[in-house]
Amino acid sequence: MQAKALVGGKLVSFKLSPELARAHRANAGKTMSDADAVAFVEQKRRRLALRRAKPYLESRP
Amino acid sequence: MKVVLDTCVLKLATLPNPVNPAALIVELCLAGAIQAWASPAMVEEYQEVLAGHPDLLQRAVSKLELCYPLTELAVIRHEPDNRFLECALAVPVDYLLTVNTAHGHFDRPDYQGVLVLSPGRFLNLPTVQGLVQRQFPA
Repeated sequence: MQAKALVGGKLVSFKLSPELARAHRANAGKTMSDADAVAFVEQKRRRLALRRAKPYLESRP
Repeated sequence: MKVVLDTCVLKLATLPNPVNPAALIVELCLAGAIQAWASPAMVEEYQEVLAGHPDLLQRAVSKLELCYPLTELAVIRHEPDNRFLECALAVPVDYLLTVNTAHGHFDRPDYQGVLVLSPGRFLNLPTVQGLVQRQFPA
């Protein structure tokens, strides 16, 4: 599977490694802007923080 | 060349966007052409974001250079971003690659010599262009 990127003003095609190619196939049809990616990561961070805080939150009377 | 990858760069690399500089950067890291550094806190976040792609996560983590920052920083207003800066300054790396340069995030062009660049701008550096040509000859 190939992907493209702009390198020094030229559009370069490159072969994806099997792992990244599998990820691209799994995400087929999806695209994300930079802002969407930032929001996605923030959502995951919040989930991680809540999971860490869960024992404390559950122990509160 | 040493870099720290913000988690959103890894996320963008997994998406089939028509033009995907993040994927090329991840490929350069997987091929060992550039050295990506991470701290345990960063790896934990990578695990959370790449949970749907376990083989990619495993390969990426196996290629990462691990660093254990001794200093906890509070330089960036958005607290979780400081984990990336701690690693970048402890190594120290040449570049911190992110798409999150909004106010309160990585909003400075450099942090004590660590340059903050977007994936697209990073690929325009002459040294990186050379690496790409060697790794992916036309």
